[in-house]
Amino acid sequence: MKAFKANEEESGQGRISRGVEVSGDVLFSDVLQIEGKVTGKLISESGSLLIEQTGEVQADVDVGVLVIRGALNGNANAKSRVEVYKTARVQGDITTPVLLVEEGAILSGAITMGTASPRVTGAFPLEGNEELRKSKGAT
Amino acid sequence: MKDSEQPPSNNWLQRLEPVKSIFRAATSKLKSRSTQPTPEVEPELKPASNHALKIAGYSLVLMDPDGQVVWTREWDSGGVFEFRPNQRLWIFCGFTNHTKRETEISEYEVELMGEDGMVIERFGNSFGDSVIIPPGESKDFPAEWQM
Repeated sequence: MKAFKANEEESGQGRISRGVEVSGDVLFSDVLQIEGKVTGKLISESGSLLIEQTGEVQADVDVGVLVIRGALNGNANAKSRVEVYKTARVQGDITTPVLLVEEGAILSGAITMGTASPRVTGAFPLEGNEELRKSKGAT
Repeated sequence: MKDSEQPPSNNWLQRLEPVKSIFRAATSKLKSRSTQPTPEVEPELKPASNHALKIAGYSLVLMDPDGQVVWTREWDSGGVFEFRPNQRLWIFCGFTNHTKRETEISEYEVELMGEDGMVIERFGNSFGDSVIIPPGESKDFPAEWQM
């Protein structure tokens, strides 16, 4: 079984397979797919981190693109965008210029970009998320 | 499997009838619950992916009280991604006034762009009173879409 390979020769995609636990800092360049468990830090200058449905990440994340279908417990910073799908459970603050959230996702933490930091807590859809709405007309 | 266990083909069709009825009932319920105007094409024939927007980038357009564009910028979204039904999208665009004068903003637009660079969605917002951004100061301009 392929456990972890962060810089696969051709595809540039690494994978932490289901049943595998990694502890410590993980640096990658292209794409890292997590189906297992990671604790520590996940860092990539412009790469994409995919936390799959079986994936559990207890780490601070600093990447280019972050796609979450599993569990993330930690703060995330994505330079380009974050996608949070319906099976995702996120506990932590997210800093990103682009945030996509699918109905059913559980997201608890602050969403930050620059000075704006609307607080989001609960399961989507959040029809009454006044704080986030207020930020649209912020002065 | 023994020959005697294989049902004749007619029986198979008959056994599928209840399934077909359930499917028909379910699709007709879905159609009746839809708030969309009735399209000419049967909705169940349209794949869900038709409703997905492929987004490759976005831009911010700032306008002064006269409606003149005072600043605009485009960003790459870090690769193409799909925006589908039951999803919500927020984009936070930042502007920093690098000039030596105050910038007065009364309205702004955030545009979503497809792979071909064309604008596929637009979010607009205006301020009751203009927003003054002093030199060296920054401001975020958020936009939100729901499908």
